[in-house]
Amino acid sequence: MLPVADPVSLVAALVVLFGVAAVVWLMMAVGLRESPWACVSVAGANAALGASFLLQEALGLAPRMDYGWPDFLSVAAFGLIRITVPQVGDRPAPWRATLLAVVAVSLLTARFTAGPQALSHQVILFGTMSVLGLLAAVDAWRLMRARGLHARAALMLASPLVIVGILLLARPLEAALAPGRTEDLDVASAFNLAWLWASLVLALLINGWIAFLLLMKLVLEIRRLTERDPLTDALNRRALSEAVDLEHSRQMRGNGYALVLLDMDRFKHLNDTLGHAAGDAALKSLVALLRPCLREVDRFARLGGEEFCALLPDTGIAGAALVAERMRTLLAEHPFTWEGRAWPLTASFGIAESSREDVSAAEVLKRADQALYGAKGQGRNVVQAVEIEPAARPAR
Amino acid sequence: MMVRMPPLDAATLLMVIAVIDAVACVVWLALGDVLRIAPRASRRISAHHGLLALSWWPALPASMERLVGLPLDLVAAGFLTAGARALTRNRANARDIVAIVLLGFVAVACTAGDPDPDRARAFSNAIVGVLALMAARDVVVGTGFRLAFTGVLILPFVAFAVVCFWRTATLLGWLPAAYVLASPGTNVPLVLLILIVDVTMATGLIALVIQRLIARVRHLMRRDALTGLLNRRALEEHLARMQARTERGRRNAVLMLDVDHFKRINDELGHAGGDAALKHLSSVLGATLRDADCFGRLGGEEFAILLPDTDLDGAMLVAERLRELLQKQPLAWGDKLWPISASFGVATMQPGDVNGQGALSRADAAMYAAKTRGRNRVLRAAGEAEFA
Repeated sequence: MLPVADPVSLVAALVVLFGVAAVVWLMMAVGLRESPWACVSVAGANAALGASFLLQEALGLAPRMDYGWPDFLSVAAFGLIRITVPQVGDRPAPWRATLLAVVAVSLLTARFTAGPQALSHQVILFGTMSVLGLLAAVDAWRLMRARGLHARAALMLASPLVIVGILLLARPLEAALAPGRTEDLDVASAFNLAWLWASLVLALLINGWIAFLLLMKLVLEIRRLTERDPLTDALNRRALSEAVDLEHSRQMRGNGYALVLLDMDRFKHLNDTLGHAAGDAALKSLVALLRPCLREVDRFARLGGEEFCALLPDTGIAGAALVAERMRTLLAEHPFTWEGRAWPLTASFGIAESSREDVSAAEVLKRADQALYGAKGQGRNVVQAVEIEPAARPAR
Repeated sequence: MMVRMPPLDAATLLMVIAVIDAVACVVWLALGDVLRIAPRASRRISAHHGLLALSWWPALPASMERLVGLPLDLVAAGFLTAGARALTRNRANARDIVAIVLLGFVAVACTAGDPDPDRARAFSNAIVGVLALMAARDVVVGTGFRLAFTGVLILPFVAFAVVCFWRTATLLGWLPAAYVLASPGTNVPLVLLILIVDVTMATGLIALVIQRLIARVRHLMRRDALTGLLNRRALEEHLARMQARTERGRRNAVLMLDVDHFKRINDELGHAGGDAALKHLSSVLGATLRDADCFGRLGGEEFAILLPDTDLDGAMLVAERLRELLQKQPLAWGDKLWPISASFGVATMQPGDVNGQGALSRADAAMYAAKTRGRNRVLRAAGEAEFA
């Protein structure tokens, strides 16, 4: 299937590839200043893998030497890949534990096994690399989930390293299935060639994968910045209006939705008394407090100032009233504290459900707004609904 | 220790290049069609790598070289240049590139009578070299990197072009025997160079994509999404920097403005109309400000303008000019004109203020005073006369 290839040339190509990749990643760290430590780690991993292949006897560049060094370099490379992923997500990397594992495994394989051909040696060495790769994959999955990617897409993104982790087990498996027959890399055996071709693809895969993670992080960051209100991390008005329009177009096919509009009571008074910083903190605490009242499918947005809106798909006026009432009591029960001072935080709520008579979502929002206005007129801290007039009620 | 290069096999290395190109083809497709990053440029660059992978893989018999192999190389090079252009200059026009590739086809076809393909290879190499140089030019013109970084980015393109021209000269028999560049099929150092060039070209373009995204994130973090003005956070950073200059004896002023009767505009025109009013205001006022001035939206219908190296009188003049300008240019919304006005408060920055917040709140108070005195006017902050 594969044309005849020369294993020594393959090893040389791998060395060149890893060398170039190391230089490119270092330049990325210096030039782009985005996740620089992640770039440095990947550069280090590439340099270590390149050096590990360079020290293979196959090339004849280095004198016949202790096989411990190439082994150490390979494990160290996977250790670096493992700590790269949290660094991409700007989180602390478990480098102490990783370093400990790398050193321990290197010492163990170099001193306490019966040589590089022994099964135990291969199992410990490649098993460790495999585990490090799988841990990186798990971390990547968590990172992407935390940044709001769907489970399936996150799984797809994590899968290359899972494949790498599994393929790494091929070498010990070969040693187990055909004991004593493992040949040096420069022998053009079918297994060696397949292994080297696979190494080439894996090298490209790992580098491409980390670049992809970096890109994905940036893309999700851009999405967050365009959809979210920077202060409270609730959706912004534009994102909500898109979501409501979408829900409205769906309503033609069946289920209606409801809107809960809320406005913090006497916010200006709070702002003037405690200052703008306190006002900002109050808005943030309101969003954090109300989040648990909402389902996964609900959307919560800041429309501007102290006005918020929740979109509840597949919900009627009764359901919306329940949600709003729960929010109201929750807010009333939890006063906002600023510099040790408790400040009662309440809001007025206006709710409305959609009807098939509505031409656009703006009409539903208008009813909710009228209801909110009514709630403010009733002395605040209440939930108010605007009933659709009987004539406009959809026929059931 | 004497290091001796082990004997390497050029054919194997060429297959390695083909595999690298195949992977790069998949990666760029994923960038364009999964992440939706620069989809057109990504597809072009993906096509470049896919065609190269076919071209390097030893599957074609030598007799097909002029019919398939060389045209494949030409089209691949054309895709790379077109992709680099779409990526760096956001300009899709690739007519010149198509023309050059077609010229290459014609040149290769003209050699159909030759017994060996050397002249065809020479022409093809020359055209590919020209295309590589065009890509390098697009990268230089279109990126906002520092010079050193751009230089590194275009290095592989230039190196590739040099190799192509060198091969052309060799194949045409222009060079003395000592300077001949043997073909990649037998020349191991050349194949290693091509390997490096191939990888650095692909990664360099990916670095470009990453740089574009980073620039976008940084822009979004500092800008208000609706009006494109500075947002509150960016404005406060500028304010703190201006306060530091105020401490060193410079005169700076702060201007606050709030749209009059904004709630009424919102109620009558809807939220979309309100948004249009805010955009209208920011474009009308932004057009007349100096480059050094910082115009930002603090939130809602409230804006601030930081005026460096401006004293109170100058700031009052600016505010008055802006107020008149806004009054003269009503908002066009739904085939009707809606008058828009704003109330302005002006304050100068004073030494000893924390991050300039004092000046901002004095300007805010002055603006509220302007509101209570009937709107559409400029007022200076209380106590400013003593300092002025």
